[in-house]
Amino acid sequence: MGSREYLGEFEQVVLLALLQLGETGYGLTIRREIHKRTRRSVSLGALYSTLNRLEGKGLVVSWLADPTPQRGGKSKRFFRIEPAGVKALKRTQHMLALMRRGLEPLGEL
Amino acid sequence: MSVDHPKLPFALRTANRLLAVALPRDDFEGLSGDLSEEFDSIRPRLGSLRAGLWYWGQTLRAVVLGTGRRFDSLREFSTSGWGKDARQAVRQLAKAPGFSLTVVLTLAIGIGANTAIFSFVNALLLRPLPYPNPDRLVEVYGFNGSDKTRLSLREVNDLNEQSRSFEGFAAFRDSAYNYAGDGAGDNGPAEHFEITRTTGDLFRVLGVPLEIGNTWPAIDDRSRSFEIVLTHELWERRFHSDPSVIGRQVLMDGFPNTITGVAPREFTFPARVALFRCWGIDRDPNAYEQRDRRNARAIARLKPGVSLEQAATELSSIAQRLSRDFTATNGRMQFRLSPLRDSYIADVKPYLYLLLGAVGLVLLIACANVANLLLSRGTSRRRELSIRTALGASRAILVRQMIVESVALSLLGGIAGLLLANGVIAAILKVITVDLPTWASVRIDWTVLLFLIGVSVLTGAVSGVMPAIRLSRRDPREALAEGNRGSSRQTSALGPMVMTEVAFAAVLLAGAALMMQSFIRLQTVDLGFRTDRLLTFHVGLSWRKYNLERSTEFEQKTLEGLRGIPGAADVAFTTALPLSGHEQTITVSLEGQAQEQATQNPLVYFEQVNTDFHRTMGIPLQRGRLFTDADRAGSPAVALVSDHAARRLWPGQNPIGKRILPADSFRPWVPQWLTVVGVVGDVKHQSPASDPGLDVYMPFVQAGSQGGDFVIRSNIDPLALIHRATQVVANIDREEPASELLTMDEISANTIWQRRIAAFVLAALSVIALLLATIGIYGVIAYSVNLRTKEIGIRSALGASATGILGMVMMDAARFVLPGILAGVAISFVLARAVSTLLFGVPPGDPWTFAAVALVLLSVGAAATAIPAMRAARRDPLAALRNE
Repeated sequence: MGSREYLGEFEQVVLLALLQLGETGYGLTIRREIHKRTRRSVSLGALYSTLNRLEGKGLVVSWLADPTPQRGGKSKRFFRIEPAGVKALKRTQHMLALMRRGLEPLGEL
Repeated sequence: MSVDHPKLPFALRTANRLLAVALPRDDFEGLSGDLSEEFDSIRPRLGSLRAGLWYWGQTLRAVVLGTGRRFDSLREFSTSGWGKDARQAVRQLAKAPGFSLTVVLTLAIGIGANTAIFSFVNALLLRPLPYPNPDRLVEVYGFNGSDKTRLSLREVNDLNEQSRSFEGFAAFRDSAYNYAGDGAGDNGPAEHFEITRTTGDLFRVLGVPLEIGNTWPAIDDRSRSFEIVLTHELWERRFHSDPSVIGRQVLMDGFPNTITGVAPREFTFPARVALFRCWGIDRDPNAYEQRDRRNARAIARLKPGVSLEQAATELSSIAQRLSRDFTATNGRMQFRLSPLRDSYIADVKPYLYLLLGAVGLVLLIACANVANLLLSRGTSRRRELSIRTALGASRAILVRQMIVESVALSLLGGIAGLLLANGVIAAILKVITVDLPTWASVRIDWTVLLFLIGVSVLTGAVSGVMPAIRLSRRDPREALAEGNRGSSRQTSALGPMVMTEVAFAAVLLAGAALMMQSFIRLQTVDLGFRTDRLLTFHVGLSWRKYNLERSTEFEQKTLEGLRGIPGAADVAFTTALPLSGHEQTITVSLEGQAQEQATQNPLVYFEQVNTDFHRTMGIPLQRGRLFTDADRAGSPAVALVSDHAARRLWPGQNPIGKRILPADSFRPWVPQWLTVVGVVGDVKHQSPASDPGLDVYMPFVQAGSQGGDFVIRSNIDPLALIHRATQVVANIDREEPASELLTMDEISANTIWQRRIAAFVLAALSVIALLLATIGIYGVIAYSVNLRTKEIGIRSALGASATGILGMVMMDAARFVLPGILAGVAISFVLARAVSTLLFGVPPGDPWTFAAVALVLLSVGAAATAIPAMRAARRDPLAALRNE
């Protein structure tokens, strides 16, 4: 996991959603946050797949909360962004900003 | 970790199990929780079906994507194997859109027809009745000698007290009342209601708790009590769900009835009714003591663990005891029971199975067609397959790929079939003119959807496996050398399949032909009276307002009014119209018979009619005279009997002048001896398929009757008289409305609705089967002619004539069409015997039918072969050879 590594587009979306949600991020709220802001419907499977990858890279951590009866007795699996995640996000955003430099006449990209 | 969430429907629990297997624990826990949380939140908005589809969609994506670390190798396998195959399959199918579309449509017809019929099977036979432990609910009925009969309340109570197999009994019967509100909570207009008269135990036996309130104590069922339980619907509609209705009174037929409770939402029994009234006693204070006052249907709940056979044995021993203790009423009485579901659908069940078998055959024909198509197409793909084999693809991989292709096609066919099924269900429901049981809603639910998916996958596998195995069984070198041509050897597999198709089509055609003939014969069968241009309606008079005298007066006034309607040629009145379901059978005694002998008499239909009844209905007089205006109240009581009744009651004797005593415990008149003055023709009472009943008629002015059926024979379209007829009744008494306004043709058609639908659906299916078989034969012949281009070219170059080649191709086709026809006719010959109870007026082995079926298939076979055969015969031999 080199420090030079950049994030994919969907990884950024997920991390940004986690930042927006603070401590309340779990599968469903993350999915809703992404949908609310971008109108984009992502499958829960894709979401968990990305979150697992991010956790594997040490960019997020997850923990299981106590089970609740509303969810068929299943626990929520909460996610929180780690400092390393914030750093990776900044790095990637910065890289994109560098790439945009000089293209301002084209309008906001 | 618990996989199951008890509140989730079965289909979603299945999805959860899949997830649990495919995902690591943490992922499963979070994801499954998320899914059920979101499912609960979108279900109210989208409905169960769409929310469920969403659930499955998410599940499948999660499984396919694989979200974690568990089963890494399995995932590898699944994506590198099946996933690639699937993508490959989609590419292959997109390459040949015409081929794909043909296959998908063929399968859509087969799968759609199956799904539609299965929806009915599911609704009527599979889905449990909406009561707890419905398999323990039974209906108990009687046999008096050989006549099926209802029970008396007294008998129901005997059974309840003496049996140990049952948890409880309830008695009920249908009835109708004119309902007026109480003026306080219910100010609505007066209405005519169908209701259920029942003992208070009904709800307990069914296991359905009331929404509010209670029923009534058992003693009220045996006394003059007026208590009712409202349906939820009526409570909402007329009382705005006011819980304080309990204890209030409403007027029914002029009597105040006390509301004691409200049934739960959606509950109604046995058909759609407005309310439930206490069984009670109407007129005769001794009614309860009469064991032969048999007007009750009875349901009972078996104790857990008691089988139907055990219960039946116990019922027999009780019947024996009663027959000993009460010989006069129960001498020949037997008790039987059947599952409650059967009381609703016993007459539909055999037709459902018949249609299920028929759609199954259509699907098999579709499978055979698709297998042929796949094989034909596979042959032209031989080169591709050979190259892949040469490059190291194992045979298993090739087979798997081809099966994945056919399953993909079949799933597409399933989706199209779903749309088709929806249309077919709607169409069938539209032509069903009778009420289906209230608990049976025919729709595409989870069970049907699972059935559809299962059938689609199975269909794909069945139609794909044979071509896949055959096509992969090739030496690659030989195939590469041969290119995409192939030899006549490749067609050897096609023959048997077309043969099967032809055979199945013959079975369907024979079935449809037999059912259609039965249906047509039933429609033209002599009912004993003329059904054309007859308008009928029912008037039930309240016995509080109408005593015998007043009701006779009402009926006479009504007849007079009806006579005045322009277009009315004849008018008649009867207490029980044939085929209307109002008829009841009674016992009779003959003059000179001992009491003991009288109990052996057959049950007869007993109708009180007006003077013109037989003339209006077209029932012919055979001996003696009809009723005249001289047969009035006070003059000697007379009777007419039907031919059948005369023969059974006085075998070998002249019935004219004989005397007969009807033991009619249902009507409020004092039984009197009637002198037979004439014999009239027999009439069918149950349905055109039933045997004629035994009839005894007497003039209604001599007996008095409380309402009944009026009949108008019109010179014009009888439906045009409806308005005037209702007007006539309303003008005499606005509170006693005419109901059940139907033409006699409609009534008669309603008694054979199952046969009508079965006949038409079978006819439609056999047309589809014929079309599919035609396409199948055509496809195979065209294909084999193509493969044999070179051979045919050489033959004509060597001097074979065009007719010779035509004949050769036709003979080729005859090789499998003829055995197919023979096999089909033989199979249907056997099967027809199994369904012979559904046939009417046509023997199951009718030689003309089978000859016609063979002829039709022969012509279809010839037509389907002729086109490719002629094309082969006309081909220029040089061109044919050059192409090689």
